[in-house]
Amino acid sequence: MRPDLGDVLSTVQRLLQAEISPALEDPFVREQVMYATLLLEYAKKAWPIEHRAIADEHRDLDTTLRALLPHLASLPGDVPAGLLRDVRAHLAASSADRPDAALDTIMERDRGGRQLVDRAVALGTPSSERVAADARERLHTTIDGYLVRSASRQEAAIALLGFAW
Amino acid sequence: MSVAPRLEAYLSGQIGTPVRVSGFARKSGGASRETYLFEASWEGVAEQAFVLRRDPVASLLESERSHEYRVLEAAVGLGVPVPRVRWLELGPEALDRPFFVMERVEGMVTPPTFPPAYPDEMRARAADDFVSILARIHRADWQALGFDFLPSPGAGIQPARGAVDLWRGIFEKDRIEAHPILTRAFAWLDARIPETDRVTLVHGDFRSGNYLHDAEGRITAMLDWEMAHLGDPHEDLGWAAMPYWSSAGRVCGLLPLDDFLARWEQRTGFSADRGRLRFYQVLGTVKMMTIALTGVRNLCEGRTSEPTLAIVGILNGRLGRELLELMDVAPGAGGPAR
Repeated sequence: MRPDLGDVLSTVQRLLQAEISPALEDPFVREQVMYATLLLEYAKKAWPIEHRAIADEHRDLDTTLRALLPHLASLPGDVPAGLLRDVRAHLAASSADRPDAALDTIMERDRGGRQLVDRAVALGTPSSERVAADARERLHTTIDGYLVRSASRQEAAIALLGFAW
Repeated sequence: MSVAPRLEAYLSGQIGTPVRVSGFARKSGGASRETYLFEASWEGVAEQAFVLRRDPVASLLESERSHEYRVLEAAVGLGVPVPRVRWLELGPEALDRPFFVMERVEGMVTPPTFPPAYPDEMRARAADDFVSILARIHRADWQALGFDFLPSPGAGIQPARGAVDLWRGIFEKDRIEAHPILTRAFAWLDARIPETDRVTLVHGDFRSGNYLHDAEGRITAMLDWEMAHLGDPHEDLGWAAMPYWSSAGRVCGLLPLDDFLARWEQRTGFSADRGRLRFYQVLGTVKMMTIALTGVRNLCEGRTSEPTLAIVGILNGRLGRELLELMDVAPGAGGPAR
């Protein structure tokens, strides 16, 4: 149904560019309006595909955390055991999420997932004496794969911004 | 009351005679400070051009208030082009927030990389000045020139250790969510702390975009000294040589990396260590991502409406990929397939 979100954002953009910006005398404020317009353009390009980007991140996080389970289970000590428990709880909650959950609900779940990956990174650092070298290697390989894919997704968002030097 | 009349009153008090301020206008850029240009005149003095740098309500960088002023004051002795600072005010009475005033230097500002479209002769002159100024900073007798107030790693602590701990502290304070890439990077840095053979003055933000140049490419002023400190000169080399500021295979869009390092070695008499350079490229990228996260926090918590902070935050995606490549993570990373 029109107006959709893109129409709304375009309307605000036109208002800023055609009505508000010409009425401004201060070049600095006009420039701020230009940057705001750029961000609206970014939002316009992002919103139709945002659900895919969020779904990709969500699926990748779940897959990564699932792949970490056997490595965590093989490690001795309270810290890996605590992380293992939390990862299992996260995955259970994630699979119980409704398929039509709101995007902000999924994003909040993913923030929790990244927190767990973050804890796994810390577990694999050389200062974690309890983690044997081969187990650390397996953890890093799994986590690094996620980091590379995640960075690639975030970089793709920059193309939507259309701003570079 | 707007800023201009209050500034007029402040300057009149400082100079002891009525001062007239004109052409007062805020300038874009410099997200760590509000920057305003203006002219001032008073009895016996024709119109002079000045720059006002005021602390913002929230910024990308939360540096010490008087730091940049004191650095600029001492930097005159380096023999490098810097603006002359005139007045520093730390209290809120005059303009609500701390600020300082410096004389304006004529020149053009570049983006964070020297524009590829500019003529080669112009780029060559800027590149030559760029390396010469950096070499002068690194060769300076910082104690004799009065830079000993600057932050230093402390006795018995490697500068790299101090720098990593400093930025980890800022990251932990300012992040509003987990960033596994940065946690991974701090672990990478912790495992590779290099030893330093000399402690020098470090500019801390030495790159294109932070100097003014004339139409021929000569650098007329080196700016943005708020992150200056004492440390390993490779920190400036690594920062300037970050992929983020590079274009067309040139450091800061100016000159190839090998050429940059060779000229720096020739002008300082020091040796560039490629291992340390890589360490400081990683640290520089971590630092830039952390600076962006400080801006994102201020934005998300409603302390600022500066749209450029959102743009810098979105650009962190590029820094993340570059960081993984610098750590050699990107090319061979495995992990689960989706």
